[in-house]
Amino acid sequence: MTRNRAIFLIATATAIAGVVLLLAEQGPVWLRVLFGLPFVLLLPGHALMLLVDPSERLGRAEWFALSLGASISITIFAGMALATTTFGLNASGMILLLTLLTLALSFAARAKTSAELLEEAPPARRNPELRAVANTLVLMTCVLLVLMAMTSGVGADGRGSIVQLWGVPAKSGGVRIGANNINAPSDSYRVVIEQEGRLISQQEFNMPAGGSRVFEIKKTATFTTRSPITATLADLRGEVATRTVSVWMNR
Amino acid sequence: MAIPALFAALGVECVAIANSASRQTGADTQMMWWIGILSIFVPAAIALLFARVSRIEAISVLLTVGVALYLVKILFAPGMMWGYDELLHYRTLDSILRGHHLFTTNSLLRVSPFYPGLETVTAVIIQLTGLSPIQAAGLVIAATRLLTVTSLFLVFERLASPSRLAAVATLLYMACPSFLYFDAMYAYESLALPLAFACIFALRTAQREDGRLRRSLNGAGALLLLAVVVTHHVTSFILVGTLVVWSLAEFVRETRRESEQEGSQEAGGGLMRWRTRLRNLPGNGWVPLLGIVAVLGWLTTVAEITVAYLLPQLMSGVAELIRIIRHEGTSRKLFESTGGHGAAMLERVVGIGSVLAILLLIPLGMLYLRKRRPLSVLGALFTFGSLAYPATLALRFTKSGWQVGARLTAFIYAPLAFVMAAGIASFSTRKTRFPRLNALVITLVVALIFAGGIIAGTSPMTRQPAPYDPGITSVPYDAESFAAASWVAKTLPSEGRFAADSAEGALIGSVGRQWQLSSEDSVSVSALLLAPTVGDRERAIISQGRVGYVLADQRIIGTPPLKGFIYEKWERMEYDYGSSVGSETINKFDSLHEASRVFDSGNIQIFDLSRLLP
Repeated sequence: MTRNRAIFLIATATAIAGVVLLLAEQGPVWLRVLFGLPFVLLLPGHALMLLVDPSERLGRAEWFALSLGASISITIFAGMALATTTFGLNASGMILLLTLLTLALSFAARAKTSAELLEEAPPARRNPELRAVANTLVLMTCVLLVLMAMTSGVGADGRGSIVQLWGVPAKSGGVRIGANNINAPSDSYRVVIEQEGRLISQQEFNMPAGGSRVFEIKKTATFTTRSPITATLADLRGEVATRTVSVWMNR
Repeated sequence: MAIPALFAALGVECVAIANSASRQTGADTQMMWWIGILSIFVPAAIALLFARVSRIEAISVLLTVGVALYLVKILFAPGMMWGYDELLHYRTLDSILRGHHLFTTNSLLRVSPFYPGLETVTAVIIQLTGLSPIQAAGLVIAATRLLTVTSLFLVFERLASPSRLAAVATLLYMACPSFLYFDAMYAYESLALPLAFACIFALRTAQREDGRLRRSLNGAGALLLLAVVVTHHVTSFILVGTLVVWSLAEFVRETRRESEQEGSQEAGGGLMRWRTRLRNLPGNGWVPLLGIVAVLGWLTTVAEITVAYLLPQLMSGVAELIRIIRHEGTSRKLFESTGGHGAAMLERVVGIGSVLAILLLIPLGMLYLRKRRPLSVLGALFTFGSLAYPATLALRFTKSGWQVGARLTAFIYAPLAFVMAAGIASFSTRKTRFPRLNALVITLVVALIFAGGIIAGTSPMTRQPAPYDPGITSVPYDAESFAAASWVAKTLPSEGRFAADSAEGALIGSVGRQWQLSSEDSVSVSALLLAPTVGDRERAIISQGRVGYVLADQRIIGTPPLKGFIYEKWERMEYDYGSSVGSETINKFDSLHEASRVFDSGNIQIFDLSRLLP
């Protein structure tokens, strides 16, 4: 492949990645990762390296280090520039900006490279171990990606039964009482809501792991603002200890 | 080079199994963890020291070890940010993602929003790929790990031509105490450091090239330098300082060479002379100058807060060192946590042995480099730079200065690893009657240095995950704490003024998006939370500090603070609670009539104190 084609390839890859990312802004994550990561971490720096070292006097390791470092740097400055505008740091703006920057660098590389050099193939750097290196890197990257995919979201040590009870003053004047079962196996609960020992409400309900319930207590004339409303959550199977909240209504 | 990769994979597996058992049951699986760690490092060291490896094979082995050690960090608590510093930067990242603008506020690390390089690149990846912040952060740090290893190898290669010496030096850099965990965390130094190495590599390569490639590489070096300036304060200071010293040394050497030439032959004109002098400077002189302007400009126009952030830490370390030299203060005990928890005897032996090995290798490496060939100016600077290591050892004896010394190791280990590799080369290239014994001794010394680095950089209590203990851990990585912080983020208004213990506070301040109160807000959190009852003084703290919420963690009750504190480092000056905090102290807000207990998840309760505010 001649240098001319190499530059053309980078420009085309950038344009395709840019269009795909713009069209798939709400699309599947795997597609956006496939195009987005090289678009941010590889292409801008590689385009810059085509401009810096058109005759490819530097080796592969040098190109890799400088491409990666330059890509990160270009992304930082492009992001900072976009964040200072009224649009702020947003996906569409960033895709357009990085596409334009990478294309501009590719065209600059094309313009600055002499005609003879453009039609010349870069020096062959075939290495018998290169395939093994690539395989190792790909393997390690796969392990990393699988680990990250497996562990998306909030990590946990998986111990204990986590059940939350909460209560906050409602904007309407009453209170909102809520219960969340994060991971407890028990799914039968009872909530008792009282004020000054006077029962306001009592409900038994099913709440499996991952489930939640909210109870709206509207302010009525029978409630007093002298003391808080208390709520107690009990696990009917007795596996989870009782939870209690006490909430003052808004004055 | 499949064998080191295979051992690295097995090592990662060992660490995963050891961590899993330790996390679930608190079982002592240190031995298995160490076997895993050494399986990653030792076979790679043997391959790089003694096997016939090509340059590209050496790089691949180094990348394998670098990535495998990064996986060890990931396996500590997969899928979450478990380091204290990571949560500080997570808060800045979260603010950028929600507000779409930079330079926001961060109560946990107020300087962080003014160095937004790391968070900007992560935010871009999140927005473009749809990955979660934790996944995107993990990928960014994985990329920086690849950049660290490759750039460092290339820098060393340009200082000493044989690839083997450069490879061994890069491997020895991985023995740096901060390499395993601290510099693998989602924190600004983790990105700035590899960018700085890449910058030095670009400028050193440019020095040896001509014409357009030289100019372009200087330009690439300048781009990397500017990226460092907006990413991390200390790294940018050290990088610019290195470039300035390097420039001055090049200038002095060129002037000396000219004066020598003047004696033997006719010298060129004045202008020509200056052109030659500038030509030999790194970045032709303009890149270091740009660095000075950029650092000062950023400090004075954007990140003015940096001086107020860094100066007290540095000054207290120096002052403490002076007090110790004058026999006026007590020194910090080595191999002992702030709370008085000591390391095992074997760890002490390995730790001291590794320091002794390093101290022995420094002069040997210097001699080897001196004998071998005339060094480049940067090579000579690296050689002298290794002498900074013994100086940082002195800081380890101070209570506040040891942290400064620990942070500096990431920078000092670059020249140190280079000189250590030269010291090892002086043995490995020597012809002996017992080559196998020689190889065994060298391998053991390299493994000793690596193990010593891990011992110096991690505490035995926090090296592996364990069931959450607020007296030990700086960040709670248990499900209940994360669920509580997530509830806070979802239910309570952002930037509510929160008082909590330091561990839960880090989570509430980052994942919970609240304003974690500290002495910087003129609020004594420890005075409020350690008082056994809520009296007039505590009410005054609440109203004057506008404390909106407090968090009470039942797990604090009866837990000895082995890390030295629960709330703030100086908490015992506010209230001496004996060996551990009592139940009446933690539960005192229950008896406070005006307080609303708005959240209860068993161990964690959150109280709304807004009725106490004027």
